[in-house]
Amino acid sequence: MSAARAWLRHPPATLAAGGVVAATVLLAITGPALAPFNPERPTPMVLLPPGPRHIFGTDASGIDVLSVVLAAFRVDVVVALLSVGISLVAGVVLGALAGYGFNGSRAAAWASTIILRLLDLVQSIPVFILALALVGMFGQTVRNVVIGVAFVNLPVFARLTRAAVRSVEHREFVAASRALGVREAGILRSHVLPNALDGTIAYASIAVGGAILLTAGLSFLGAGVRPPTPEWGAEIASGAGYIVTGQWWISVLPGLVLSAVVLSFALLGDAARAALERAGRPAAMPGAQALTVPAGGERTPA
Amino acid sequence: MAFFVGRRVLLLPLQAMGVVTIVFALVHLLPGDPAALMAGPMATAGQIAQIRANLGLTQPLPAQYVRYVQRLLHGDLGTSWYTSNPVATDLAQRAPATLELITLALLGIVVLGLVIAGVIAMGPRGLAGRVIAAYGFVAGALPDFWVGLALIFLVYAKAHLGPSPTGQLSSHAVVPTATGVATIDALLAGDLEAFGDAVKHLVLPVATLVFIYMGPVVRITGAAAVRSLDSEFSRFAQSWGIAPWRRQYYALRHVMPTFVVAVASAYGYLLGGAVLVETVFSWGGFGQYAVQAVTHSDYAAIEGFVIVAGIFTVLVYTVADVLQMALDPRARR
Repeated sequence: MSAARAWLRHPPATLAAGGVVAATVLLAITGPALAPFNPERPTPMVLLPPGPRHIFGTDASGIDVLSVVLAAFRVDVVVALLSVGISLVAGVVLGALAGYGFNGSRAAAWASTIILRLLDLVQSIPVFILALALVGMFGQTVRNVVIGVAFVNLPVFARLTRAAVRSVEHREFVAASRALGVREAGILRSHVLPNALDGTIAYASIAVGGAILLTAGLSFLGAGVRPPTPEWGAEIASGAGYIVTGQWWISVLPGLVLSAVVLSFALLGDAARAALERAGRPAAMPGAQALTVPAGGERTPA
Repeated sequence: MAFFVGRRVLLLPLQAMGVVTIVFALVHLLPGDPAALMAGPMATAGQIAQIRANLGLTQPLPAQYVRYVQRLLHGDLGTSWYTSNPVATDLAQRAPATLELITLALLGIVVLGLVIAGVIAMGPRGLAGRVIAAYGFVAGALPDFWVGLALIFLVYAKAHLGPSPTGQLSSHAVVPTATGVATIDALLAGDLEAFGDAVKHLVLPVATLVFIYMGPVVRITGAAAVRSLDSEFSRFAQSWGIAPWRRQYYALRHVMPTFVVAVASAYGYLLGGAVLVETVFSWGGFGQYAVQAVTHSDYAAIEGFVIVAGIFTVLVYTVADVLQMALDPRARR
């Protein structure tokens, strides 16, 4: 009871976002089974407007739009979760190596410089263009979409982790562990990282929304997940030609569902950030400053 | 100041080399024979052999890299098998239309963004502040291509306003191509009717880009403005009885470096967004060329657009950094 009341103290937007995210994960598992019609088989019932039988209408191939939207949860959400998972793990490893000083080791300083310059290089190409080119070059398969989206998101995770590691590594418990003779790698793994990851993980929720947008954008262009596999961006593309003649539902409704999911992941991540701030552990979140590297480098107040 | 600006500008060729190196590495990570990939699916064995010789693929990797950079320095980005034109020519033809689109969007973001950030600064907890905060979140969650389609539906299909939302000009308006930017070409030709037509075609794609990419700029700049008005120097000014408009001017001055960085990263993102929005509006620019290259596995063209997009972004960040040095003495170090 008291736990439920504590939950309800959250702002309504956060609760709604949490609900949508929970429903999203559930639909990623059950979505294809819930689809009332086959989302891949064309029928003669083309371009029917939303009605009692087809709540979201049908598209130009006579496929029920709601069925595509439901079945697409699995594709879009799994691609997003997998790619964010990969960039989170790889980004944390790179960021930890780039951020941790290993008690002033020269080799670590060099490694840090090299990692940072490589991240700069990757970040000098606009995210969407890099993802598009990667998928274009390595072949348009779902696996390559996952890898491409993971690759372009990696630098942000690495930078967040690096900033957090740097803010933790001079704390007293690190010095205490060192004094007790714990190896540097052990300090990093067992003492620094657990205290540095909260902000990065909060950001992961926002990144899942971003990954869904990227996947849908690639598929919209015909460069990601391809028909007949049900996918939100591809379905929006299939309706794009009918917008001018007034058949709005094929593109508009899948887009609304997609946006609700992306917005919910973003709101949840923001709520986590706000909670960390209230708890006195403000997390570095990428505003423009964290994403781009101004010439001044990190501007720490003197 | 000049020293710091010079040092920053000297960094530019290095960053450009970085972009080139990344693309070179990617191409060589590809499974298969780069020459066969570049030549396309319809190439003969002779054509592939010629490309192989041209790229120097029989030489060791470092020599290939040197040769690659030499080719790029001569403006040679290879030949697109799909359009059978040099990629550099293709890109040069299409870049002006895209630049027009994203530069106008950027201007919209700068002007509207400053006004809206100012409104936030006046009252972050008021109704306007909350509405704008919600806008920031929503703009970040909506796909730009979807917003473009929704605008086409509302403005063209429902309200019957404006010309058919495809391309830069209606089919009846023909102007000689001089710059590749339809509005400027129409003006050069003295054809005011075509100019009006070109402007009408710009409204929806530019509105789409502004709506989506202004979100982060407003959020970041608004938050910085609130912090600035709340900071000690501002409260100190207030305690001295300095007029509110003057404090707001100080805050504006204080927020400018943040604003410049936010706008610069928006410019980079706009180029990516243009790829999608151009496809929605059949704009025929750089972005649509990229999509065509990807869907036809046109490797030389993909390489070309990544390099050009990367160098464009590096250039934008350099300008932003220089502006920042002019605005903020702490950036000069």
